[in-house]
Amino acid sequence: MSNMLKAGERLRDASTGKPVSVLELLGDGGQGEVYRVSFAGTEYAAKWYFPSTATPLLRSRIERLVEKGAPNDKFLWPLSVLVKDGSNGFGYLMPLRESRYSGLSPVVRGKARATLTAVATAGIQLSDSFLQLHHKGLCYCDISFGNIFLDPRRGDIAICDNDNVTVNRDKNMAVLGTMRFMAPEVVRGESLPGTQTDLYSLAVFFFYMLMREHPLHGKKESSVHCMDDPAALEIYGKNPVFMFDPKDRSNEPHPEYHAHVELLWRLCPSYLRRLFLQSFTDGIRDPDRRVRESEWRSAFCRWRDTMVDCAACGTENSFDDSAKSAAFCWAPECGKALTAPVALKIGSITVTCRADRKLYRHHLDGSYDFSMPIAEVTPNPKDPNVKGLKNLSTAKWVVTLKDGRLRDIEPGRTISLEHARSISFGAAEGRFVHYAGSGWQESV
Amino acid sequence: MVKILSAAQKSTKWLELCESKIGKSHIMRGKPNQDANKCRHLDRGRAGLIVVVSDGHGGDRYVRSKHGASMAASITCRYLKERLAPYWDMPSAAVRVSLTELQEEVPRYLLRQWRSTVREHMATEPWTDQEKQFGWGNGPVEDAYTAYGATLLFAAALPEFILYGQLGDGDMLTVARNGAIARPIARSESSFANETLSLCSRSAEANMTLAMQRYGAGSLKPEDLPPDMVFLATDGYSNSFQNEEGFIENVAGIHDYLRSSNGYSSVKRSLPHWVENCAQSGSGDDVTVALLFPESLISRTSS
Amino acid sequence: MWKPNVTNEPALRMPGGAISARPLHFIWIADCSGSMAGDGKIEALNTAIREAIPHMVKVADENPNAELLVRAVSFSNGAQWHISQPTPIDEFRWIDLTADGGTDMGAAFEKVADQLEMPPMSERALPPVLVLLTDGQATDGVRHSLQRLHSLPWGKKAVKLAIAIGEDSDLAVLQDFINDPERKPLQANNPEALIRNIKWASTAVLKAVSNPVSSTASGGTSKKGNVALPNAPDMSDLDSNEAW
Repeated sequence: MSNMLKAGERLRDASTGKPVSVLELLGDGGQGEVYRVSFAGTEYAAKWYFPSTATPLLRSRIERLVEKGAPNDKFLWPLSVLVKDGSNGFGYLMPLRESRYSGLSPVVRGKARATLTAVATAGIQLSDSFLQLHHKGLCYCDISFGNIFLDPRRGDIAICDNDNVTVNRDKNMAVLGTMRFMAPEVVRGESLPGTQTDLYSLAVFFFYMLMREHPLHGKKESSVHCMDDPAALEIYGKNPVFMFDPKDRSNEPHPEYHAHVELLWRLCPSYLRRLFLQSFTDGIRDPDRRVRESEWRSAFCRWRDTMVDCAACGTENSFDDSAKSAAFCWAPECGKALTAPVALKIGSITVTCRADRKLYRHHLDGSYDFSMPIAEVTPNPKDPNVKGLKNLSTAKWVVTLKDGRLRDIEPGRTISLEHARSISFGAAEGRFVHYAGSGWQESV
Repeated sequence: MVKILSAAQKSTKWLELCESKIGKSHIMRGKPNQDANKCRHLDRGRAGLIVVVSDGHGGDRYVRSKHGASMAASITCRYLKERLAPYWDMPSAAVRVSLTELQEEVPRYLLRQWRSTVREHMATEPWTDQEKQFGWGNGPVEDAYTAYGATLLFAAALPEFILYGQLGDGDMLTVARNGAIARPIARSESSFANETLSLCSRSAEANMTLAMQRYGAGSLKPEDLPPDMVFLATDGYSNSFQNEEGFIENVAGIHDYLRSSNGYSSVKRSLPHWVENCAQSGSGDDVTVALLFPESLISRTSS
Repeated sequence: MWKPNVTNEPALRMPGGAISARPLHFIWIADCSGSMAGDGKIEALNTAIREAIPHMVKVADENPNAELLVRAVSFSNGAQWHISQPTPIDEFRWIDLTADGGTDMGAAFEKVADQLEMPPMSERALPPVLVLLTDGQATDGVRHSLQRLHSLPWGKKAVKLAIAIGEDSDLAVLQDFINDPERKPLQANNPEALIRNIKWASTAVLKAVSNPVSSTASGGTSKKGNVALPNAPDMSDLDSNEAW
């Protein structure tokens, strides 16, 4: 309806002067419209601000973001400022978001189904990305349903609307958007957004992703008939109580509206539940007690590392090896006891060797780098039922077989899981284990 | 200059026309107008207008769909008025409104209110023997929502934007000043050959879809203007045309009439006949049509 | 809300395309194989269809919002349109079928599928009614053509009925055609049963389909047909002396 720009119109890249062609309107938000554009033979997205929003202050902020550059490739970051001949308006160029990404809302509402592995992967990528953003002294400030996307099948994330990113404790920052993801002190107007409030918003996002509900939506929310500003202020700001607060049961899940949450909470591994508990008890009142990104990243890695496929029905399950009792398949039609497949224990980390499992650098030495897997579980081309671990690194492995002999596994070669007892990766050593009742035991 | 700007700042005043007729097939089967009481509007004076159309399912087993539709219409009007309150009164706050957030909230709270109103109704109006013949009153309460099943269509026109919403079949179209016709919400594939999504579906929250059109208040550019006409109708109307083209031409034609001289009174006079025509000689279904348009459309032509 | 006209001016002409009742396509799919020639089966079929016509006219009159359009396809060696033009029921005249040859049911399904594509079907039609009448087993492959039929949007929405004439019919194929576990093929073992079944298929079913009742989509795993049909005709009083 109110397209500011028309298909075929020309914009200009402010730094090089090169032309940018407008192709079509993709969507709009409160501050401007997003278009698909073409620049130097490639398609990008471009945001163009409404006249009322296009202030010099905003422009200089965008220019600083362009200069700083994106923390990693998950951020659809401003690449350059765009201008239009004969106009005071401006916008910015950014990478185009692929169609495989879905917003969080369809996942929460059940329209888009995300696999457990995808959810864990999204958790890893999001915590890792925000960690890098904060390391740069920047904060995101405005997590919402509309600006973080995930691929429900693969778990990759895309972080958009980075024009609200600003330096920590920026006094010029306006508080935008709804209160849903905001830290209580921001909702109450006592504090401006910053890295500590980002941590709170991140925790809410993760809770939504795993539990498909807001952590503060218990009985109190069930009596709300319209989430207008006063209701939101009360629930998210003045009187925030966690649904599963062990000491305060006043906001327990409503049996009808929040039944799905109870189920998902029970299925959640204990080490993740602990982080949610911390975030929404101490973390509500005390910004310094909020869970840090590195803790989320470890927990999601551990969750992904210990996922198994039910031997009876094939459903993905988390396998909580910290639980004392045997785990059962959560699929309602199955419910059979889970048998963990062979796993690899490297130091304190245990990784189940399910199909498509990948090992990364942090499995060996604790430094995170997801760009290059160092190993992957792969079937034997001659017999798909036989699985092996393929060396994707540049270093040779020395494998000790079950009969005691040693084998060299050069980069590109694969060692059968059935025959190996332990692997020396160079930086670390891994032993093959299997789960027997009460714990992981070495395979003999 | 200042005067002109402030005149442009003045919010659009919205008008509506609505008509509803019982379908011939329902008269012959002795059924009341399933669409009755389902076209509601709420006038916010200078600030805007909400129009809601709800179509109760016509099958025999949907014994209380008339009530379901009526409840849906009034609940939706009240809820939207409350939820969108900040934007009626303070148009500049519209920069904060996010469609994604509304998409997350509106279906949730609307459905919650509708279901609780239906439950209250069930508690105070026990099932009659005739109704029990269809199996109502036997199972869990949640299954009985189906007896009240209805679709939902709405358009809420505010100073800075219009919010559209749809659950189930029915048609909602906008006509721009230059005559371009569009559907703000794409038609669902499920709505085909009399099947439809419904307020009584378990997946209703997931399937209620919203859309938003912003128009820059304070700008005089043609592309920043609000739509010239919003057309809402139950599926009995479009089903009366032989094909989609015939129906679209009809909507365009109504817009032409509206903006011609004495358009308002002649359309107001004619709409009941057109709706009756469809209800009798067309689909034979109950038909409701609602039109929403800015006052400037009328005054443009009468000056 | 509606207020009386304050002037006596006539209403404006309704703009846009013409208004019409929604088309309801009814297709007889009739087996004309050699075996139908024996025991008076084809004669019974012709008679039964003729008997049904006045009743169909009556149903159509009672449901003016549906435009009942009837045609027929026959199959023996191959399949062809016996009455190819969708004919308004009050103009419909039956042409007797004769029986000779094989049972190329698959070919008949293909012909029907061709007509259920869009176009020529319009989006605003009511669910079509397809009635399969056969006494035996198909002599050509039906799997492929049935898959095609069931994959079309109108193929899915069509109400599909099957009447097995005599006991030699392959009920499994008929059930496949119907594609709805809640609807079974009807069995006609004598002329009286055939007349009764055909009358039911062409009137009670027609009445159910004619009425523009919206119903909620059968999401999830339920495979209920989208039209709630009345119960199949009661055959308990017919003796099976004249069985086939």
